[in-house]
Amino acid sequence: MSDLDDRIRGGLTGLRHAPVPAVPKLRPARPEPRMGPPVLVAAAAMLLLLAVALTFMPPRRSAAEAALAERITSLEARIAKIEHDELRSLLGRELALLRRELELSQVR
Amino acid sequence: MDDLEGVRQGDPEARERWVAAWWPRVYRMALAMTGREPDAEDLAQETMMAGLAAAERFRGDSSESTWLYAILLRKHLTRLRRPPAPLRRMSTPREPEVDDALALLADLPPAQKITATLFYVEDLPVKDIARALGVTGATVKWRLFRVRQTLKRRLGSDPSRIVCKELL
Repeated sequence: MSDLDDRIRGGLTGLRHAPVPAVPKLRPARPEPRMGPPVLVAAAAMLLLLAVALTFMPPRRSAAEAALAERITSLEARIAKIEHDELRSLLGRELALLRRELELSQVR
Repeated sequence: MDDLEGVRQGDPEARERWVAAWWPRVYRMALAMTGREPDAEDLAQETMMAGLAAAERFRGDSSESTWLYAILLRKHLTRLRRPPAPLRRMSTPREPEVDDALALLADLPPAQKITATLFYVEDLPVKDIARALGVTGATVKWRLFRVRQTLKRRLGSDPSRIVCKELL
């Protein structure tokens, strides 16, 4: 053991003698109280409602379709503000391509 | 039957004995890590609760102390990631000796702090420290080397003379 190790050990001696608080009363986790029949019936009814709602809800757009639709909307807004004809035409072509892409993704 | 086996079998007296036996060591280790008594008490309690909850899964591949210190380190690192809680006032003034020890450790990063405490306070061998912390022995030796470098400066000596003797 080097002199430095001894000095570090000596410097940390205080930790060995640090006062310790009283041992806490650690109780085991209590099991969840059992649910009564009314609670179970209510939970089952909620599940049923959820199932019905999911069955009759219109299908949501996929994330890719939603992103495409958003790009189309923003491009339309951008084109409306542009006065330069050539640029409008170029962006109009891009818009047409995006619309076609959206149609194709909805067919799939 | 040892107390841990009793804990596994749900014996409340074994549970109390086991907690009482480990509490001082776990608390002091928590104090070394947090540097504040109220935080140390919370961390030690969390560690003991986690130890009791995981007693079923403890297979005895390592010593109980190694297993508990590993839990303590995980809990401490989790607490460090949380937003800081408001500081609670300490109920009793601290002994100067304890203050000096905590000041010595204060600037070390958590991994070096626990390594130093396990080595210099708990007198654990490098192999056991490596197992508790889930690192290799070489990592423990490297951390001890860094601890020596830092603490030598704090203790007011010439850092150029430090060698990582475990690596020699």
